[in-house]
Amino acid sequence: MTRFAAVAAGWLIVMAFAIGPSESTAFPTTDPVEPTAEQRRELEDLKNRASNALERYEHCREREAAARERARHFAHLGDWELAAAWRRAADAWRRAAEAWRETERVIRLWLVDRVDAHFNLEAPPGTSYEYDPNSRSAAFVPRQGTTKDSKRVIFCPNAFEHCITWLASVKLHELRHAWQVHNCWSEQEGFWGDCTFWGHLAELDAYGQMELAHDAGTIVLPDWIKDHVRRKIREHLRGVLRNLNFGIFFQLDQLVVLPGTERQAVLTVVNSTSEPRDFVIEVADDLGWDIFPPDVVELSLGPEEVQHLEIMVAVPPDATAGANRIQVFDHSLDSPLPMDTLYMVVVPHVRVHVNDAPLFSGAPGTEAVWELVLTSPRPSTDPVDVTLEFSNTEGWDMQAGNGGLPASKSVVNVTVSEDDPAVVIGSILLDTPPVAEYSAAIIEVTAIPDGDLDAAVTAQFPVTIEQLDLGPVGFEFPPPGLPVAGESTPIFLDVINSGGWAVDSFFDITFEVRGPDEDGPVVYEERQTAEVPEPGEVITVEFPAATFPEPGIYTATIVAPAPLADKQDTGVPDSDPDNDELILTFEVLEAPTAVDQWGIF
Amino acid sequence: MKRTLAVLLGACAFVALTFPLRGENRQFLVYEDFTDFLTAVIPPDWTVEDANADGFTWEAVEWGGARGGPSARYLAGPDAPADDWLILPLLPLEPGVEYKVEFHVRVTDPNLPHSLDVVVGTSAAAGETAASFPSISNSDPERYEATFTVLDADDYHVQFHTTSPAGSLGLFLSRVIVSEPEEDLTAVLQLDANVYHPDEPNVFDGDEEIRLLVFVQNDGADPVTLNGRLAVGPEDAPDTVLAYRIVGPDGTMIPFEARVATAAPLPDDFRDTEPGAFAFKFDDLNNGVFDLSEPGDYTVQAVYRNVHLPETGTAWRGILVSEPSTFTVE
Repeated sequence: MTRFAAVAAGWLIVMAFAIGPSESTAFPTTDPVEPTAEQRRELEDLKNRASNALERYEHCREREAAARERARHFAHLGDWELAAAWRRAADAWRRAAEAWRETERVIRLWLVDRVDAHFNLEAPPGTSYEYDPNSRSAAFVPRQGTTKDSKRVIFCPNAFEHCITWLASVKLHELRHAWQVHNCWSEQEGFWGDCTFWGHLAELDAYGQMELAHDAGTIVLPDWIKDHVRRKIREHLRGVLRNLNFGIFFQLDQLVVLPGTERQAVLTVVNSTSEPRDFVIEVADDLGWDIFPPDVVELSLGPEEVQHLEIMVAVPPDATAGANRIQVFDHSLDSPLPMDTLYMVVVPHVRVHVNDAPLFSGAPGTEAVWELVLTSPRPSTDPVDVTLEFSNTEGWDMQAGNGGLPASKSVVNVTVSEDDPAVVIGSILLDTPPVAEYSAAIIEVTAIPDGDLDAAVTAQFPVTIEQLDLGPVGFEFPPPGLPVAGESTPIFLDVINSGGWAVDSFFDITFEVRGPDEDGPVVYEERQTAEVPEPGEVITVEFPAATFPEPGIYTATIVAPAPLADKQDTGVPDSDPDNDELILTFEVLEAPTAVDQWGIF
Repeated sequence: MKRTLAVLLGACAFVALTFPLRGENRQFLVYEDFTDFLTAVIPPDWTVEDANADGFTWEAVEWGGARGGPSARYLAGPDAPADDWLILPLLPLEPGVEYKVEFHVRVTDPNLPHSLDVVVGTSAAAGETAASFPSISNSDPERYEATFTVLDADDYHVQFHTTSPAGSLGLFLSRVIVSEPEEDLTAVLQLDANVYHPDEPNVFDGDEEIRLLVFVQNDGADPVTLNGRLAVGPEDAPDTVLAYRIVGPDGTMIPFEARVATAAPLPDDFRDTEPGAFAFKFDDLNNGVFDLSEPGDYTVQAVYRNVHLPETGTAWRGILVSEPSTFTVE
């Protein structure tokens, strides 16, 4: 917890009494936990499946948006017929998008549920989860439809864009808002607003939960997200305190220290009022380290005066790795609240960092390579000898670099210092077991400095294997967008490779149309062969022209890749057959009359 | 002195969050909140001039700004009246263009008002006064603005000059924006009902989704890098990129009411948008964040407002407001 969250915690105590002690204590009593490797793998698999559906949804939405922009363009030109045709094309893409939206929604909410279970996140009674594929926020709790007995928590794609811990952290944040509502905070003026006292306090409390879980090591965030969370904590703390025109602040939130040393910290004391003000300053810590000055410091500041105070902290020689919280109090406030907090962190001997999240593409036999960076965070030039042990959850064959040690559990010795990190290259063979069944594993690295098992640190990282995953996303007719009964029209089908791997080969795609009624006869059936698209690429395949005999609603079935085709020869299984078939309806328009001869149909 | 300003179009102070209901597309030439995330800073290409050499002048502090954030503080000396300049870097300005300077400002004590001029000139610590605020006395941050044009195409400094009385304590300046009209980018809001059922009345019951599409289109001749993370939120919040101004049946603005978690934009969110291309977002107005339960006619506008920059390179920053659309709730 940073200095800001610590101050906020003090404010929350005050607020709790304002609300009523019996209600205010009804927050969850259990802490989040770190999921097991197996649970993490399940979550990663769900996340990847939902991402595939989202890609298709977004593709359809892009086409819809483009068609609507074209419709607007022609409407501005006064070409109402063409504008109407583009609107109908947009509507077809909208319907396709709706189908993918539902698929994605189901998987997302399943994932949200599993995150609760695996991270031990506790929702207040009466909480329901929803999914909004359109919002670019991570998640939100809306005021409308949310009451003390019924809380709505709505998740958005951004919550799923990064690592699973980001999703868990977002959940923790939003569930905190749900708990706030449950405990009647939302009855306070300004709770739902922006830049209000209660709005800032609600966010400060929710972001504080994210930071607490991060600091506890249960929901550990990547650096850039952690920085974002700390920035938000600072922003909202300032929002809470913006009418408090005085304060005592540590100049830094955190200092890295070594056992047996002394470190200086600087306090900034601010009186931003128009009257003189007396401060009675005391600095205290959790672990009982020696702090100078040991007693309170009395200080009198004039209007808009700022002073800096230096304190010295002695780190005991036997201090173990971890943080000591140092707080500053102003006893002139007649309150036990800390004004600010500084953490002095005794660092471990060695840290392990994985360069980027390893994400590989491949078929059986592919070798995936990853990179570990070892650093010593201690400000010392003495090198540390590190022994590394590797293991993985799936029992895959594994090779470590620096001499190569082929075993599922390997050991490598390196020397590392603060200015001279060591890089270890590792590799994993993907042929056991088949990748079609296992797409992710957790690699665990244990680093033992100088043979000291008590000082060992571990790091985990997932290895995800991207595969071939073809699927249709829709079809279209040339502008104006919908066919006319009795007239020949070409057909264009779109197929995406939403997997992470491609092969230089071909696949088959079939297109079948029934109609005009739901159980009407097959009026069109064709099969085409196309090259496998690159990962993320959408290809358009032109089909022979079709003539639909009469107007009405037709049903189209697209299958890609089609089974048992003569030319299908990828040699690699399609990883997700569930999305290989797409069924959509479209309208065949009535032929224009003689009066309508200028029309575009 | 050569006259540099052609017309003083206006200068006024607003209480924060008063927005006119009309199109106001503007590109930000400068957006400054006096922080580099770690600490409060005066940007390195800005200049501070203590013209009366009394040792009291502008400095960055962690407190006193809009939303309780950092600010540039002028602390008045006890003996001499202020003569202190906060000078922005040179900006290439064109005649015939209406430029706007916006900023938030507050003072320590309402009984000790400050004086602040916005000065535009080709030299530092000199030029013509575009707007004068002789008695600023609000102790909470409020939004002020001034508009001006220039006579000649040249590089100009926009500058804040304070001549406050001695002993008037602090003057806190924050969230400084210099903008010009935006001609090439357009924000468009389309209600789905208008697109797919144009001949039917635009009427919803209280439980129906009110779907819409917002797109920001580049109608210019050059590519523009846009922040495509169209995160919806309150218009004044720093993370908000897309906001809605909804006026209800009683003529008042419907507030955005939700507790939202938003991530910072990622490098992929900043995309080059070619001429004719656009960034877009589908949405549902009736997803719980606006109270649309009151029967009657509503008007909605989309506001695209980006102040974010990518870690490397640049991006368009400014505000775009769509034309209004209307719908009815029964």
